[in-house]
This record gives sequence, C-alpha cells and structure tokens, in this order.
Amino acid sequence: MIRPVLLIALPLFFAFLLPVIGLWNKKGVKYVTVGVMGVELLLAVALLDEVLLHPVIDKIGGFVPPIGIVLMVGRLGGFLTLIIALSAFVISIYNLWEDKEPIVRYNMLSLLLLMGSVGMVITGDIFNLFVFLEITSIASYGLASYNRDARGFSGAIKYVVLGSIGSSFVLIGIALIYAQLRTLNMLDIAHRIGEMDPYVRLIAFTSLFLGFGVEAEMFPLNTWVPGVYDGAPNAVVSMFASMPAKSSIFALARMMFTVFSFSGFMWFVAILGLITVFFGEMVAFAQDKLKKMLAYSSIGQMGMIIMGLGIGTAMSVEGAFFQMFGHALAKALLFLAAGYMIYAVKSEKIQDMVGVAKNPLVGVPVVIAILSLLGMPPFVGFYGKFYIVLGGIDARAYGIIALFLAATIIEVVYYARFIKVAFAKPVREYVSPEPVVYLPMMVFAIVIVVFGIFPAPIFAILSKVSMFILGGI
Amino acid sequence: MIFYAASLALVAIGIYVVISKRNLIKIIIGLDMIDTGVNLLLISIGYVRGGTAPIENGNYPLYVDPIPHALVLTAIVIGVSVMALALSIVIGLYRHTGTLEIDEIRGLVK
Repeated sequence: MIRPVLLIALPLFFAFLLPVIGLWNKKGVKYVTVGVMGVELLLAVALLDEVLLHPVIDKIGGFVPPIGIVLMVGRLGGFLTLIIALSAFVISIYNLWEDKEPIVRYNMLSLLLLMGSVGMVITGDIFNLFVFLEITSIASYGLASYNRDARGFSGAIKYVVLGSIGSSFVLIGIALIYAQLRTLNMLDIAHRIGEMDPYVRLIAFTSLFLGFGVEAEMFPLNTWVPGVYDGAPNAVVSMFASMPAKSSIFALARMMFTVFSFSGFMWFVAILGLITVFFGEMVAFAQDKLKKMLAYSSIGQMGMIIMGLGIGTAMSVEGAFFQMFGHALAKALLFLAAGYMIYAVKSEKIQDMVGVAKNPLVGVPVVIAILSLLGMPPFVGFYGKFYIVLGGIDARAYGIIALFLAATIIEVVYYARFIKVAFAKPVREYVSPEPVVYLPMMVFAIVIVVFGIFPAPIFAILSKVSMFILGGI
Repeated sequence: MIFYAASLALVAIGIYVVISKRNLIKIIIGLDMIDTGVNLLLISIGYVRGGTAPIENGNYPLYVDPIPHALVLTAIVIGVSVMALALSIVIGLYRHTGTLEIDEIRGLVK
C-alpha cells in the first residue's frame, strides 16, 4: 500500500531542503536531485502496480469526500505519473553535465516542476488541480528564463502573459462549477453535472479547455512555445516537452471525460487538434534552427494527441495515450541530443550540423527517436499514430484522418532533411560526448525500442480506457 | 447578478489591456486586472445578502459560504507570486534591451 501523497511530498520536501544542503556542499545538490527523482520513479512504479488492481483514492487530512481534498489515481493517472517520473529521472542525469549556475535554484525549480506535474495528474479536486497548474507554471517561468539572456527573458515573458491568462480562465471555469454545484470534488461534480444549467456548463467547459490548452500547446494559444523552447536551456526544454505538457493534456482529457462526461465524437476538439497538427508541421518545415524545428514539431505532436482525444472512440483515445508516452520519450531524447549537437557545432542552424550525428553514441538514439516520432513500426510511436487513425476510421471521420495523414508527410520531409545533414560526411572533428550525455539518450532509446517490440504491458495498462471515456477515473 | 457582471467586465477590460497595449508594464497591469476580476467573481459566488462571518454557534443562522474565501486567499497568493515573477522577468529584459515596448524588443531579440 503506497499513498499517492508521497509522490507530492517527496519532491516538495527536498526542493526546500536543497538550499540547506547547498550550504555545505554545492556540487552534492545535483546528486541529491538525481536520487530524489530516482526514488520518485520507484514510487511511481509501485503506485502503477497498485492502481492496476483498483483505483487509489487518498483522503488528505482524513475528511470524507466530497469534503476535503482527495487524490485519486486510476490506471491512466498511474501511467502518466510513470511517464513523468521516468522522463524527470533520466533528464536529471543529463543535468549532471550541464552546469547551470546557480545550481541550487535550478534543481529546486526542477523538483518543483516535477511535483507540480505529478500533482496535476493525481489530484482529484479541481481547485487543487488549479494550484498544481500554477506551481508547474511558476516553476516553468523560472526555468524558461534561466539563461538570463534577452532571448530567455523574452520567451519567458510571452509564457507568463499567456500562462497567467490561461490559469485565470481555469479559475473562472472552477468558479462557475462551484457556483452551480457547490462542490470541488471531481467525482462529485461528475455525478451531478446534469444539474448544471447547460449554458453555464458549456461556458465552464470552454474556460477550462482554453486554460489547459495554453499549457497543452493547443493551436491558437501556443505562440509562447517557440520563444520558450528557443531561449531556455536544453535540459529544461526536454522537461517542458515531457512533463508539464503531458500533465496538462491529461488534465484536459479528465475535464472532457471524467468531469464533464462528454463522450463520442467532439468536432470542436478534433478539428482544433487537426489545425494544431497542420500549424506545427508547416511552421516546423520552414525552420532553419534545430531547436525551433523541434519546438514546432512538438506542437504538431501535441495536436495529434488532442485530435485523438477529440475523436473519442476507445481506440483513438488509447492511441492518444500511447502517443503521449512515445512523444515524451522521443522528444526529450531529441532535445537532449540537440543540446549536445549545438554544443559540439557551436551553432544552432541545421545546415551547420554536417555529420555531427556520425558518432554512433549519439546517432543511433537520434535515429530511433526520429523514426519513433514518424510512426515507424518497430518503435513506440507507431502504435500511437496507428490507433489514432484506426479510431478515426471507426468514427467515420475520414476527412480528418486524410488531412492528418497528409500533415504527417510534412513531418517526414523535415526530419529526413535533418537526418541527411546530420549523417553526412563530417567536415571536421567534433568533441565526443561524455557518458552523462549519451547514457540518458540511450535509456530513452532502449525504452522506445523495448516497448515498441513488446507493447503488451502498455496495452494492458490502457485496456480500461473505454471506462475512462465513459466517465471513470 | 451585478457582482457577476462587474467582475466579468473587469476580466474583459483586463484582456483588452493585455491585447491592445504594447508596453510590458501595462500588460502586467492588465494581467493583474484579470486576476482581480476572477477573485471578485469567486467572492461574489459565496456572498449571501445579510450574511455574517461563518461562525457556527447558533447565534448567526445566516452566514456567507466560507469556501470561496479560502479559494480566493490561495488565488491571491498565487497571483502575487506570478506578478512578482513577471515583473522580475521584465526587469531582466529591460537590462538586456533597454526598452519595455514589445515591438522594439521583437526587433532586438533575434
């Protein structure tokens, strides 16, 4: 028996213990962070093991729901927690290489980012969800401006403006729900959602949808993404792509399915997702900087997940969750690799990276990640896209699926262009990567390949997804 | 009803300020107005005409809903910290670019 609250308490406790540890050993702070994230990963595995048997509901302070705050973790929540904890742990190993001054504050913020993202996934109370969203956002704002240069600051200010408007909208949605139902507990709201005035319900849902859409990189609200991904340190960008983005998209999914009990095909969501895919892929195609290309590609991938959720059949939602898993791993890997490549080439332009991935220690993981993102069969990314497409065919959304497949061709073109340059004959010698640089990439690549060849465990976790769509936890 | 209308009007004015102004400080003032509007909305949801403070000892049968107060306290704290962070980012940006107009910053940051 493991209480989900441990997953929040552990990183929170150590985040504020780090300054004390830093007083007598500055270097030690980094290793403490890696250790904490490792323990968090073990806790996430134990939690997933438990929620596979039955949903876990943790009553904070011993109040009986709907009074008091509860944490509630179902299968999908456990799965998302595991994705976030795994990415955080592997990226923290990479952090040992990137010496970010001041070390203590950097590690504090990354622990808080982990805590906020995990909290958003496992909470069962909508106001608590808002608080965790804000913790995540504030930690993100700090990390986004971490380089303290003009680019970092200008990316961060866009993020702050959009992010705080988004969270105000989340709060408006929560206020409207509370005004009508006088409760904040997600399951209690779900039971009584029919008592709400239909117009107020629609406005509340739209506010929450827009609010979480900012963090989930949904189309009209994602103008912060390229600036932040361009200006932030590389390890931070990896974290952004795999942690807060995933937890807010899960929050979106829970709003749609668990709280508001929508089911079936949602035109609005599916089409917004499709536009996001198109926007991301087209603009990524036009980029000449590696990190910006990856940032826009990330928008495209998030659009696929939103589209999968919007199509709303069991298969497409299963595909969307698979896509979350595949994208978190592959994009985190690619951003880590981009960090090394930019360091080795001393330029951000793709055309300068001639032959930089020739070194198999970097090249092999990069190729695996790209193929997985493109949806090639023996890798994790394949199942995500394949099931979204199958689900779309099930729902008879042929037009959307056709346009979706057309958009993914653009993706193939720009990744192929990058591979062509990066694997060409090197024009000069590049520094070879250190173990802390290539080991995290290797870990991600191994996970991508292993679960690509043996997807059965993931399908077992996702097997109850149809219950989630019908309003389960 | 008038409370709801007023607080939503404040939110709308805040969004207008954020969209139309080109100066970062004014944009942040707009964000603060949105925050205040949402907080007022929450408070007015819990308001009961003629209600007193929520003390349950039988003497005051009519009291306001205390939960929105707790929510607003949390939201105010969060809002203040976001404002502080936003202002510090603006200070950093000003040190690097020497301006607060976003059009000029866009030209300087490449």
